[in-house]
Amino acid sequence: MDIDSGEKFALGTEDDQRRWQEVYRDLVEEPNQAGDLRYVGKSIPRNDVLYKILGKAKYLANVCLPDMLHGCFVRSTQPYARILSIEVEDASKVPGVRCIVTGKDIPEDRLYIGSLAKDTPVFAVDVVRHVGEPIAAIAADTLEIARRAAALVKIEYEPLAPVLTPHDALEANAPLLHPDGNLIADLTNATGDVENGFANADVVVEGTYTTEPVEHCYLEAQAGLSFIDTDGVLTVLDSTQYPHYHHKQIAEVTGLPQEKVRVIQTVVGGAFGGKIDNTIECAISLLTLKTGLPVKIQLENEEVFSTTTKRHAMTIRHRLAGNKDGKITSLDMDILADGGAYSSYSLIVAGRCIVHAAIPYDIGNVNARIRTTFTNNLTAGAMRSFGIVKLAFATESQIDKLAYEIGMSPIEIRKKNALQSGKKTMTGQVLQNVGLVKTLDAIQPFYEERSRAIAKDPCREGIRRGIGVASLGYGIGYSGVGNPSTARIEVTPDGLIIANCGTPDIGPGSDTVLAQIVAESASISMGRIRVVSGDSTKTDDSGPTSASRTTYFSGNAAALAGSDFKKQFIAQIAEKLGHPEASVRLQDDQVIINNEAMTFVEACAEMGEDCKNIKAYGKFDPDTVLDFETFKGDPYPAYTFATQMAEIEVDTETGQVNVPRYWAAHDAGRIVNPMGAEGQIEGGVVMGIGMALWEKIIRKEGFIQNPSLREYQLPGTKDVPDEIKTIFVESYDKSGPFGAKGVAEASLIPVPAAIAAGINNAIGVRINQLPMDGETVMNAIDLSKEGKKENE
Amino acid sequence: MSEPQYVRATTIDEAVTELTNASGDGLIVAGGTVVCTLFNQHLASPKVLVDISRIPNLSDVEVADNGSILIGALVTHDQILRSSTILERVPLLNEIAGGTSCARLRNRGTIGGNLCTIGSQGDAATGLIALGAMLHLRGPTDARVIPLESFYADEFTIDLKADEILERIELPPIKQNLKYGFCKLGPRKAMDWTQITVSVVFDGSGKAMKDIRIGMNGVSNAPSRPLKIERWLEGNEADKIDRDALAIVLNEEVAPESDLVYSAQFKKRLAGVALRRALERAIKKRNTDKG
Repeated sequence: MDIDSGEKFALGTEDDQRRWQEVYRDLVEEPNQAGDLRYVGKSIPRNDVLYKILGKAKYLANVCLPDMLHGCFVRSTQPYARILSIEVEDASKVPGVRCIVTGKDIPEDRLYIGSLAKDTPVFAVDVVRHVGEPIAAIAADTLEIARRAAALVKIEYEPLAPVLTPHDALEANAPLLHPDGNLIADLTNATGDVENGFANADVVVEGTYTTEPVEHCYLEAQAGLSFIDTDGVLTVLDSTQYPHYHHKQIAEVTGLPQEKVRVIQTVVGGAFGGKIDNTIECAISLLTLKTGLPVKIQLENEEVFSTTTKRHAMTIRHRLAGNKDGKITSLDMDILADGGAYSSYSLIVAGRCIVHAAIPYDIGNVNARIRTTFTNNLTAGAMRSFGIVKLAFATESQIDKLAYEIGMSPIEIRKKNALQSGKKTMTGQVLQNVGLVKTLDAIQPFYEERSRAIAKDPCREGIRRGIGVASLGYGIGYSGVGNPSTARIEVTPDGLIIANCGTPDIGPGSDTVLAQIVAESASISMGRIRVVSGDSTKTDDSGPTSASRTTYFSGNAAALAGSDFKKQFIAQIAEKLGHPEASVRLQDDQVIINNEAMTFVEACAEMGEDCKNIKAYGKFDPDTVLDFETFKGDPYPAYTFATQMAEIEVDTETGQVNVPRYWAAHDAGRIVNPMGAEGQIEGGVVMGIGMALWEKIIRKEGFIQNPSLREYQLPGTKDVPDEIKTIFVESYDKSGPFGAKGVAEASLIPVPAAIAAGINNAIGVRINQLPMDGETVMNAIDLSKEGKKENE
Repeated sequence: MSEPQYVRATTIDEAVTELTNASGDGLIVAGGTVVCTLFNQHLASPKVLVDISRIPNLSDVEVADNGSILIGALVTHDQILRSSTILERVPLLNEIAGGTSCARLRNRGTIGGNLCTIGSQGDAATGLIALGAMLHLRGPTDARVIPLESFYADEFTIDLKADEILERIELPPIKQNLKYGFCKLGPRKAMDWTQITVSVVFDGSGKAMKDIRIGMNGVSNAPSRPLKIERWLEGNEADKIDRDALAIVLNEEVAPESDLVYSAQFKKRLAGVALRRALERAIKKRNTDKG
């Protein structure tokens, strides 16, 4: 298979893309006046939409190669055990089995991998630390043969007593799951005098908030196909959100030089943080190197549920103090998180929680501690918001409680404490472009109108109604570490612009956003632009698509590259045609020389092969720093803010919670593509509702009890609000591309807290655990009735 | 797993013969919505797959001369939803079909398949039990007619021999002043394994309920007709049920099992709510006799 460019999976050939160009042209409005933007700020349909709806987009399941083998894993059936022996002889005798790899096939110094700490063996060798941990991988002529062989691999275990809660992991006599102990993170961030704040406050509210692990629920399971290309390069087609990471990791594990490995992202059917660690990549690479043949592994849906990373389960002890005027004086939180068997992104989640302890509020006295431990549960890793959704559930619920205690509206108390431009965060960063109050202002009229409407009619046939509000602030990009993005732009003599941007599109349409930005900054028609992303050879490592960073980081790089392109193009054409540069302009897809216009295509034709001289480049590497001892510094270049409101109906006989309407006001800077941003927010709200009301991975002794969409309770179309109203407050962040920030994770973060507040508003009962399913709500109602009886 | 032999039967007799020849290793497929799932999950491995979907006359809803309603086993949920006969005479079934699964599955899934495969999760069985449905079963040597509530032995066992086929469902003639109500409670609004479903049917000519029949699902391992509760409710007014007393009767008669979503105790509680709501809905609806 010869793959000259990775974007073909999503866009097809240049000819395929032309049809989209014709469609989008009719949809882009002309700018109203000079200076208006032509592409940025417009709801331009995604550049992959036609290819997708025609069923041509290639997900990995659609890709097959001649002589391709099918692979599967042999996995641990024990939560914690010593491996005494691994016997593959019977399995290897099954006709059609081509190769079996185990940890013994990898030299020890290359066996351990990991996104942050290298503590995860590609295949377990001496010990297994969770059910479903890979022990071997098999490649065979058919998937059925591979699976039959997998069942014949004999593994002898010496079971060990598993550690199943972070609390147990911290016991003095707990077995050490890793050589350095059971703590993945123990971070503290403090400012001011917390206890003094509590002692002198009018009101103190306390609560312990618990959350369960949840699954990302991308519909496309992890999948990869590896082969050796005609140049002898080990090429891996992969459904991933970070091809460059896998590129380096595969090189390390296989011992190949980096130039002999290439990772190309196929079309990704959702990721949400779940396709950032190694799952199938190293295994298929090893199988291909051993057999010389293409090898494909696609996980089964149940395998995704029962072996891949999950959201951290957390217990958050929270105290909040405030005065009767609404000013919050002190915040104290202590988080205990279950990191599972390996470290994955736990440290990043912990760090982000600590840095976001008080955000988006201006609180003088704060003490925040998080401890994340290893256990023998499934590894907890990256998932949309990196832990902040749980932090917000605790803190926003506490603020709502405080507001009730002092008789203040949930909008007012947030305005009173909101971070504002020019104020410092806990890390000492002075913020600019803080739109939190604007989002509260945007929600306020809806809050007042719905409050009045519900007050008139609070209860109908046993259904009680209420509304709940919650806010958030969220740093864009990785916390206090360099995570630069780059973009390179080239042009062909027939006028096609290739924009190589490193961060891949994992479904939300970021390639379209990047094309809009390039078009705008280069003054070229968007239809000419082909974004190549997610290809380790064609593009530079620009970081993963995560942390809401693509529009902001890669967008900035794309804007710089676009401007650079414009400059270089003008210089080239001026030289070619013998005009001074000052007399040449590039405007609205036209080259204007001394008031005479030619089309961009004509200009490219004129330049011919000289087009190749243009190598435009943009790099965005903001100066972010964070001292990981003191947690002081400027960890993020920009912050996004939001306020959301949920209208709630609680069935007081069944505990069922319904969310008929939802409002989301966001400050995400200037919105590059309103239609796409709205889609992100609606998706995030629905994901948050699922987490709030139904979703949890049920664990028993380290085994997952509900490992499929049959048992796992994901909201369906009938369970989501009839209306989600999205409001973008006007905002411009001068550090962002055309003023943009980020929006992806923010949409999810306030949802569980807003729903919990709405439930309390409806029935006067506080619920401190997720999910707030029917039985949980009924139990809380019963408890509160008992409490009231006792008080009488 | 070896692939089963596929046979398309064109008559009931042919289908029965195929099942008989398969000596216990035959499986009927009609709409395929359940059978295909069983295959995909390796939960079924028949030697012979007998496709009955083309057998004529099993896809009709008819009214017999005596007024009883005959529903062919191949009638789909969507047909029930759209049938004017059903809507006029037994709108309860229409209401149940409207909330059954999604349009795609309603288009293919048949009422016969529903009763024979996923009875323990199906909503339709509750309505049919409450309406007094009889099943017409056909075997190689004889045919028999049994009440639906006796069809279910437990979750995985039904009173259908390996060589028998469900031909049609018969509902007795609909009496005047018949009132009906339906309530379904589950964690989400559609398609959940954990679901409490209750159908009630009674003579509502007076204030007190007469001849009440109840079909319940989700509170035991198969659809059931709770006779004790029926007796207890008989003669009561539908909107004046003593909740605590009802809870005691329910407690005696139903024994749901805890699952991954709800505890047994909570399911009992929901069953009480669902039953009361079904009764309350019944008296709010107009009579089925066009009046």
